[in-house]
Amino acid sequence: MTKVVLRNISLTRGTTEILRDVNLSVEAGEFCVFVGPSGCGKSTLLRLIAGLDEDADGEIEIDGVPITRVPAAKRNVAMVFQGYALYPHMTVYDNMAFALKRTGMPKAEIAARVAEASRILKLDDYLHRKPGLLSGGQRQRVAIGRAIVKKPKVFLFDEPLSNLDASLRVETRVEIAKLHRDMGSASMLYVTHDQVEALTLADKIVLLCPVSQISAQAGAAGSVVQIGRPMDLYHHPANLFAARFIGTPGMNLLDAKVASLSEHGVEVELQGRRCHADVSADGLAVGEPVTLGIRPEHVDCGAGTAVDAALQAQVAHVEALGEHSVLYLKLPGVTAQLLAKTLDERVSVGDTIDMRFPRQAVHLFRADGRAQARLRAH
Amino acid sequence: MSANRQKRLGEHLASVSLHSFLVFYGVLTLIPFVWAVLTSLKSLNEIATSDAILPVALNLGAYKQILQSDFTTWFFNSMKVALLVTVTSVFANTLAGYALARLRFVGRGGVFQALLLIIMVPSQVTMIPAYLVVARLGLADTHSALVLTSIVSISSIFMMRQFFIHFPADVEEAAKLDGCSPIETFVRIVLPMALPALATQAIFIFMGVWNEFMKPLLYISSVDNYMLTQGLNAAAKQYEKSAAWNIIMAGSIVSIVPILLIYIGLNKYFVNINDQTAGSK
Repeated sequence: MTKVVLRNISLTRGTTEILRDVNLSVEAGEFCVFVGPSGCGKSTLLRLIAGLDEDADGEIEIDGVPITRVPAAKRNVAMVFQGYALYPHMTVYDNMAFALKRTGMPKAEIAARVAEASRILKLDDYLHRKPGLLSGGQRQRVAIGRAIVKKPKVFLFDEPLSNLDASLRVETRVEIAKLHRDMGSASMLYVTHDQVEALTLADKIVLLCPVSQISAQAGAAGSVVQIGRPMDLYHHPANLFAARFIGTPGMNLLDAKVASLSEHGVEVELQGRRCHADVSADGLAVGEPVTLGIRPEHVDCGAGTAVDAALQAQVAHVEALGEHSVLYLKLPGVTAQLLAKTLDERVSVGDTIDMRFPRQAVHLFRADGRAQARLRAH
Repeated sequence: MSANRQKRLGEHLASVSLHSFLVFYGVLTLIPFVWAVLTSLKSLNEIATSDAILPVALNLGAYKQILQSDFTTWFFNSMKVALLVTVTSVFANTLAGYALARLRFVGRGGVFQALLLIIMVPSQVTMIPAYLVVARLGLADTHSALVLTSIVSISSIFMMRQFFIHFPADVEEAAKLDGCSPIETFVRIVLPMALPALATQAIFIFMGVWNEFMKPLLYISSVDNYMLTQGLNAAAKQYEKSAAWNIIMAGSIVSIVPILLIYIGLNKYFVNINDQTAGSK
């Protein structure tokens, strides 16, 4: 059983506050991904758990044992770095065996562990090569192998796929997911800025925001904005920050006003048009300014939309991505551009299209940034 | 003619011009060496009577003569001092460069700025005060004086500092996670990865000490303690009178052999100075 607990972690360096009041519990065997924009402190948090940085306030526990003041090598954690951090003067075998040799482990056991890791990572044929003779993907596998052989309680991954090209990234992502399944009770903490990685790998996502952006709008008191399963963050963003950050492109956010309230949802007024949202009416008042949110993939502008069209928009720009196109739409009287995804390849710049916001896909955020609870669970 | 073809022709011409210039420069540089080698292989009589560039027969008499003289003593004196200085200086400068680049301590910036200031002071200014210190320590006319006053090389410290500033920090952090102490990390991880920089430093330091003339002239007075440069200078004066150019040239040729050997031996590291971390990421 390996459980990682962070209590009240705060970090200020000089006059710069990097982390504020981070509280988190990662269960045994859980794959927890830290996401957030640049400067939110996600890598710093990982380094604090690893013991590479030790200047934060608060407590860190692994398996109920406080490790805040334990040296990095004795924390029983293994870290995979973004830049691989291999020892270029050693062979692949020696890179993987280095930490084990230092502990005085018998040679036979070291050889067995390295053999097992190299079999899992398909590195058997490269054990006697030096890292300089390997490709980027192979180097990253060696870095992962170096972590596996230690059999740590906690795996720490610091943007491990950032240096790989797109196809290798997908391949290695699948390997990491498989590794997680095979590693049993070891917890994995993973930092990334790539949402696809976060959504596909994580059991739990921790969304962080830079301390400078912590405000009433973010709806959070500390660096952690929201913790939850990947689809929880996608379908139920807790606040405007999470709504903007999760999803590619992020959620459309439009100023609106509450028009009416009922137990079935809320009706809002948007530029003279009425839109329904299946969200709780708790705490809302008629006439209250709110922010309406809808994801680009949920904007309904496909064939047949015109039957009950609520809004008309002009196409300002089209990004054709093959599997779908992203439309940049201009709504009359609205400054912000609205993004919509469509499968219709005939849409072109200058077209006026009809569209509607399906009520079950609409989010509402109050003036302080907090989201209204959605009535339909996903 | 298409624009592309014209562009290719222009690039080709530029390349030919550049290479022609480099070949010309190379030949120009080699001429004195070739002349010295050829002269060292001639007899004294041939030098005095013949205008031919090539020797009539290979005459190794000049080499035999210098090997029977004080030349061997001076050669080994130079070798001893150059090796001692190279080893101690590389060790000291590397540690200093690492400390200035990686360790956080009060006054680090001040120390570095002081070093930069010192590097601007011409050695001629400090020569006499340094001699007085050495003399008062009773080290005048000893090789220790040469070694001790050459260990610290500010330009090498500066070079190593720059090297370690760009050294990947995550490799050191990986070593920390693997259980290495700071000293172990330095010895087992950092130093092997710094070999190209160490080799470059060693070449420059060895060459500097081997070719040093002013310092030995100042500190060393006994013929037995002469460094090779001093000895060659003294011998040249003696042989110039008898126009024994073959002996002077033989001495010069033998004196550059160690530098050539050290350069050839360390060349593979020297050319990799900018690729010291290949494979770490």
